[in-house]
Amino acid sequence: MNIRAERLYKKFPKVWALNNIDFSISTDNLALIGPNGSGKTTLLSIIAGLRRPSAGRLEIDGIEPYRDREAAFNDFSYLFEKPKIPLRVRVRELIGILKEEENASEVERLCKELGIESFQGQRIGNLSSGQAQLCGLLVAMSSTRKLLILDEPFVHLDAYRATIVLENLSKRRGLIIATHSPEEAEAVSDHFVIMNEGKIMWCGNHDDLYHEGVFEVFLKAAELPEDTILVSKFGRSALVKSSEERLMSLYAEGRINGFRKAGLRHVYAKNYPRV
Amino acid sequence: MSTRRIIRAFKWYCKGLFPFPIFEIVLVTVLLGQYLAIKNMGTEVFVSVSSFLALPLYGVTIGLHFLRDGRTTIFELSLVKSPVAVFLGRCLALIVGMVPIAIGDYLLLHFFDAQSLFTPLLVLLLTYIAFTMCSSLLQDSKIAMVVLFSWEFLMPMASSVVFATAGHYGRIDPVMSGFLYLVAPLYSSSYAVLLDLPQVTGLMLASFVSLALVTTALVLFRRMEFQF
Repeated sequence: MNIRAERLYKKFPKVWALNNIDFSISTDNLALIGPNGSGKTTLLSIIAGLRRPSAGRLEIDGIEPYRDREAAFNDFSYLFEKPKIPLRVRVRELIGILKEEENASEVERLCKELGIESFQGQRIGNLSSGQAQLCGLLVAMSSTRKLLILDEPFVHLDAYRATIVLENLSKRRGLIIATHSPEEAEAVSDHFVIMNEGKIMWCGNHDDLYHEGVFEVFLKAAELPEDTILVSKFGRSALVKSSEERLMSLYAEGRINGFRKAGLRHVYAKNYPRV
Repeated sequence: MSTRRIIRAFKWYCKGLFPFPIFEIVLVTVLLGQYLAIKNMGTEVFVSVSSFLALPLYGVTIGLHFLRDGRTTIFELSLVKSPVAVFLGRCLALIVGMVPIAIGDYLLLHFFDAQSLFTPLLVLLLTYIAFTMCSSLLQDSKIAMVVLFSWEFLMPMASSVVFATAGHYGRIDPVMSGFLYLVAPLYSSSYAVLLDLPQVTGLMLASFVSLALVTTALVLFRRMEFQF
């Protein structure tokens, strides 16, 4: 997938949701990460062809999705946040329609894995947020379209089902996801765009993330072990500059609970010092 | 955009189109009201009851099914994968929604030998389809409901005021006549003597404008931005 944004702007009344977005990425799976109001969903909606930019252009594999909408809707499958849908249609009927159009065995597999069978007799409008989210994911994930666009796919889901969704998405090629969570982004994507206030703060891939010797350390006590340089701290976790050997010995001595390479957390911390 | 997608959208919008028992209650109430009106007081009262109460009630009941908010429309676009198919699926299902009342009224008018009212009644249902499809473009279902209610309930009532006062000023000019045929074709047909536009022309104009409104709504739906 080749995605290219050139001087992309989107203005809503009184606010620039996107402010000079410029990037060119060739990747299978892309994650947009950022805090609330950073412009992730707006960018995602332009990518999906649901909204037009106020200025600039965006191309995915040579098409401008908001101009060539039929092609975009044909090639892309998507789910946006806030899935509460006030419809009287029963989940069973939705599954029936999906089976007619999509790969029926894939629809059945997803229904079983996601636990949708247990509430298929209910009306979509009466579902809880999590159940509605699962139905939205079923529609999006059962599709064989070449690009899957998901906005916060794990919110409203319990840990068990979130893991199943994560597992399915990690096998997929052709995915753009927007999320608040660096961990979710790292689990399913190989390229990352970090946004804040409608601008791109950082853009890179896994190699770019891990080339610095920064680790996320899970502390036993509030204090930081000696010989480590603090980058950022959040509760009982800290981002530190250190060597893998030193952290291994701290772990062996029982002074820390564990550690791992920091990845997106580090980039986040650099761009938002309080994170 | 393929026929298969339009059929898929049509099937989707047919689900929940006739909600039990609300639909049955409304249909029976509407037909009973029309029957009593024409049986006891003749076609003039039938026209008033149908234009101001019975058919607007039916039109709004069916129309509400198609007034979806932006989030729901986005979900449906993801399911059907074509804005044109979503729009045409809605439109076809809406036509199907109008069939029961059209059949019921045809039988009623045939029984009371008032078949001449059936054509303006069909045009009225066509205008309901046009107003509903235009209202469905609004991505706030509550606002859309108010707009649809105003078109189907309030505009015919307003037109009756125009007819009531028209006697003082002579005949109603062709432009206003055309507008009255659009917002209240059944009522206007029964007061055609006051209008400076032949009934056939007025009904054809209302039908043409309705089709133009549906076409415009389709073009706008293809181009519109969807809200979350």
